[in-house]
Amino acid sequence: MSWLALYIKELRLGKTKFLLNMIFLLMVAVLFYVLIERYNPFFIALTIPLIILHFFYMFFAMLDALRQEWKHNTAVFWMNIPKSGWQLLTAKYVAVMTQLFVSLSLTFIIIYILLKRSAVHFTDPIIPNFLIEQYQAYGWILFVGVFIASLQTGVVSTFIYMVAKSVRKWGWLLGTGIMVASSWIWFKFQETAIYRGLTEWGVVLEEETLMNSFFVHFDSIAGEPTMDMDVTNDAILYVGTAVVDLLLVVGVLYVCAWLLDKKVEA
Amino acid sequence: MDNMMINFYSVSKKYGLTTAVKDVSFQIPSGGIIGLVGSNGSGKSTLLKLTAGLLTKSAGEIVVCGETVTRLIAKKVAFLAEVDSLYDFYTVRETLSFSKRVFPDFDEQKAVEIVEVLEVDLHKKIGALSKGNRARVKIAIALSRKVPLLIMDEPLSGLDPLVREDIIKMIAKYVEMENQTLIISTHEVSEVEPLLDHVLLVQNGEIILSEKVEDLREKKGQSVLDAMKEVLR
Repeated sequence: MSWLALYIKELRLGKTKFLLNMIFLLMVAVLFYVLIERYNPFFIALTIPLIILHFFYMFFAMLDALRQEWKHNTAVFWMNIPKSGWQLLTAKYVAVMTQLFVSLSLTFIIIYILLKRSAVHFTDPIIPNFLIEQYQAYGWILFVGVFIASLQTGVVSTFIYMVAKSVRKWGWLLGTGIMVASSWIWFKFQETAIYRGLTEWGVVLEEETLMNSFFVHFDSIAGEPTMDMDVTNDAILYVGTAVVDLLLVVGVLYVCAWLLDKKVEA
Repeated sequence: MDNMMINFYSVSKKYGLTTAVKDVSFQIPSGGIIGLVGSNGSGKSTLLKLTAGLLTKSAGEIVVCGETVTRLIAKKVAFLAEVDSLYDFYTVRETLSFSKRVFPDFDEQKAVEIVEVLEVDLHKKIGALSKGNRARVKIAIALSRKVPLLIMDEPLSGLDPLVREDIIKMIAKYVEMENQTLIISTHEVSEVEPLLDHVLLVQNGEIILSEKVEDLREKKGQSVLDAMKEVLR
């Protein structure tokens, strides 16, 4: 129950900025809608940055959620709550994650609606219809991918902030340095057989299947020029990769929680 | 040693190159009200935050209620900060409900009673309260925690005389002397002196006087203020 109270408090703490975020998204959606309807359906391409922005959503939202405690002097109250650092931090993290989920879902819905609208304005509907089909079939993979990537950026900023509040003068630099070094080690680890053994299970999508869907589509239109796309890497997307990525997020959060309990200063 | 509430063993605290607390050792027994007095910048807040696990020591050892201090000592220590530290988006009522849910030792009924006695509007947002009323709510929350150690960092600082009087009355009425120890830091010595059982004088990060107030009065015929003047002279 106390975790829930902390979670609700975090939602309220970030409520104003989250509402501004939603208003911004809706305003951008209206703007793009007008551009597509009045000028050119290719304006649909402008929605791509909206997805890219969500990669960094957790990074900045967690940074802001933590910074607010210190900026408004509530850190002394927050840190005096007799709950583990894990509870305090996960309440913050899950609240920000909830906001990310809503914001990203809205973005995907906006893109889908705009995609549908833009399709009407193309003289040849093959390409927009193809894009809509691909979006319907694989959009959820993109959603999950962006979501997990954003979760990872969230623990990066949380870690840097925790180190900054533990080591007074050079904390920011030290936290950033540790994160850069850890990321490099992690990338190296991804090249090992151990990593492959841990992650290569539960096939979600094979590059070959995706490419075949491209080929079949274009080739099936009689009289149209065909487009042939070859499989280049035989890349396969696994559930295992997502699970390991999420475990990494939990691990880093655990370290952050330890820092909050033992090293962080109000 | 067993009945000691607080034990500092050669504790130092540095902020970069600046030493805020220098090799301090002292013990505080359980029960009573302890005044931590000293001028601004003498190290009072640092000592209190170290005791509450809100700062980490640079050297030495701190034991509170028999436990080595980390942030998790919060289950036995309630800390009241000098600054406004409540969430301004909550109403007073919501702040008390939130406190009830996150502090397992929180007596909500007592908190509501204190707030009502002080005529603070329960439905007003914390951010909309006057500074004096925010201080009253803060004190009500701290006093409603049933913990062995209460720490109040400059609770009278920057408040008008009426609010200060209210706060002193609340402390006298609501601290459970049999079960709780209160440490109160202040430089308004004369105002809190009638409450104090023990006094610690801090100067330049060192404890330069630790005496029972009763001893000061009976053996030396001094008030706390007189003793401070003598030591600092």
